Amino acid sequence: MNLVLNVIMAIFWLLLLYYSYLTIAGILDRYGRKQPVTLTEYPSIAILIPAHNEGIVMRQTLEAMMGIEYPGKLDVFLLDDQSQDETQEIALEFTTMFSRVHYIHVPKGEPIGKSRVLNYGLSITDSEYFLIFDADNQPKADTVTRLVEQAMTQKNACGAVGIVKTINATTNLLTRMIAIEFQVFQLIMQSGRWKAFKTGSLAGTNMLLKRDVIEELGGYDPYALAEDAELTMRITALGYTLPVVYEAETWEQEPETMKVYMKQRTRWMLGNIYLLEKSLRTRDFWKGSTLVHSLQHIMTYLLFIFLLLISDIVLILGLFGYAFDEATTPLIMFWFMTYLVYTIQILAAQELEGTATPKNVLVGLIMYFTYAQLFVILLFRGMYAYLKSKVRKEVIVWDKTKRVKIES
Amino acid sequence: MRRYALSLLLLVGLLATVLVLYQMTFDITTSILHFLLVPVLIIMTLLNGRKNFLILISYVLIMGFLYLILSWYNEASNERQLSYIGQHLLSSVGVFLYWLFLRQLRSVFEENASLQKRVALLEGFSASPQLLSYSEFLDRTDFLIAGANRRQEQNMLLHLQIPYASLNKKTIMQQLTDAGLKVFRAHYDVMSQRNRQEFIIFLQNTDHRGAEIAWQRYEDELRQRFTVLAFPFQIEILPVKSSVEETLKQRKVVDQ
Repeated sequence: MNLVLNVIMAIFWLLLLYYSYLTIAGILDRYGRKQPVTLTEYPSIAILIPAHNEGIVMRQTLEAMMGIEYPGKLDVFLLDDQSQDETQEIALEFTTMFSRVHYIHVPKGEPIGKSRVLNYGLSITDSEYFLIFDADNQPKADTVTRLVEQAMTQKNACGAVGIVKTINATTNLLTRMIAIEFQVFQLIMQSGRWKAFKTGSLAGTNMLLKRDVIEELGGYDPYALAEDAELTMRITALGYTLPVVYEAETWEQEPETMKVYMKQRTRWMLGNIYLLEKSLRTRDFWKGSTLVHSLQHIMTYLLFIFLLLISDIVLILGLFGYAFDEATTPLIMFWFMTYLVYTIQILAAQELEGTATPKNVLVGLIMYFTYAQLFVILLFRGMYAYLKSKVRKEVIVWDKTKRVKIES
Repeated sequence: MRRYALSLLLLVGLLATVLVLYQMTFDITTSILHFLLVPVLIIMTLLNGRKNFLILISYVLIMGFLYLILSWYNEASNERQLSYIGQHLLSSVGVFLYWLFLRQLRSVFEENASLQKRVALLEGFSASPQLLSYSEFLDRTDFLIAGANRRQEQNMLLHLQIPYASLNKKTIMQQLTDAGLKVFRAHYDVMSQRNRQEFIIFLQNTDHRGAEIAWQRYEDELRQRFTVLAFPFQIEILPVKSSVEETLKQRKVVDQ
């Protein structure tokens, strides 16, 4: 029993130290002064927006796209994947009035999902770089310029990743927690890893890529549900880097109900399980900088949740009187450190983002006991759906996140 | 007053934490750990900048790991581990409150310094509410010059300079301002003090002859205020080029 506990605790140590290190690296990266860059010439950019029944958010998104200021050639392609609502109608209003916006009807095809739509978008455009925005995104006017400037000047960069902010963060407790989760992700996984390993990861939206590179990779994997994470691995395996540009912001909405949230996150979990399986089959994913991503993946989607489950079991057993008194490992202290590291990340992210209001700090203090526990349920849901699809030999269908109307 | 109350509250919280912590550190091993507090607090006080947050986070994490190692090494009982957690939380809360207190203090000082700078700037000029501050004057004249250029009109500048050695700069400037406000239409012809010695009046849509007429009116008013035959300041009439600052700079070049 003690041996098992010691092995588990060794993994705990590793995780605690790694995440503490990333937190400090993230803070240092944010405090570091970024050199402003100006290019003599700006490359052509195609913004690709995959859309399926996005009428509720389409007008605000296209208005934001028209507000983008970019010194070079910029075109916006709305890739309509068989929408049945007013997506087309709104898009056509813009295309008839503004030369920057183009409406593209994506032909029906299999497998359904964002990857296939993006591959189609790439096939009909010819810009030097392309940029992905989700259909609910509202980027800042200088976002594209900031991304391009870093992508063109950083060593080995094949693109750049911006940051995502939550437009409906204050709607309810769930959106507040999601917003905090995003802030932590951006501090630890983006800024921290960029500082520590010079590696960033694509976040599905607000990401710029060089066309040559995606062509070299053969486009998006149409079966990947977490297409951003999958593409990050392949890009890193080729030796390219993805600078994280903190100044390049976009605003997007997050699920406001638990039902929509669970659906979205189960899809993400499925995508990550698919990627885990692919990682185990692909030797290139375990070399150089890609190793950081692969290990990170295992840590986040397997070890963290597994250890969370163990800590819950220990807690529950403790409550029922089984206290592990004979254990030589300080279980309570480990549990406390896990809580501490998790919460410190949240508080650090809030302080750096300027969102450390009393309410947000209070929510941050309870997130370990509430929001983090949802990941145990998500892992089980994801594993169940994944195994079911394997047994039945079915292709997992892309499940689009339901949007809400937010007045600007 | 709210900020003062908050600062006091933080200070009281800090003192209370230190007291409780002192009561708890009966254990020799852990009280050694708390000596780390002293250099941390000193460094934070000396730095008192954004990096203090980094020190705070590092302190909390390092102390946590030290307690963890201690628990492992001592094979600490559950009660002992809970006591370690209590001590860690208290010392962390103490450093956190100190960080908040320093941050609060810094923001008060920074705000105070910036306000003092602003007051010093405003005090340098007459307190006349109708007179524009120099930055407002520049903004307004830039706008007027752009409009005049479009309409192909000319603008002139009356530039009055009090010699540096003059002992009555303040009183002379006060008289120039009062007379200027009386003679010129404050909302049409804008005027300002460039510094303690220079007073400028921007005359829009006029030429050299128009500016001389304006100066005559101004001179008549000034004659009633000054008894000396030779005014204790120099007067220049300048055509405005691309901007007021540019015009004044070029004037300096000519002087040299």
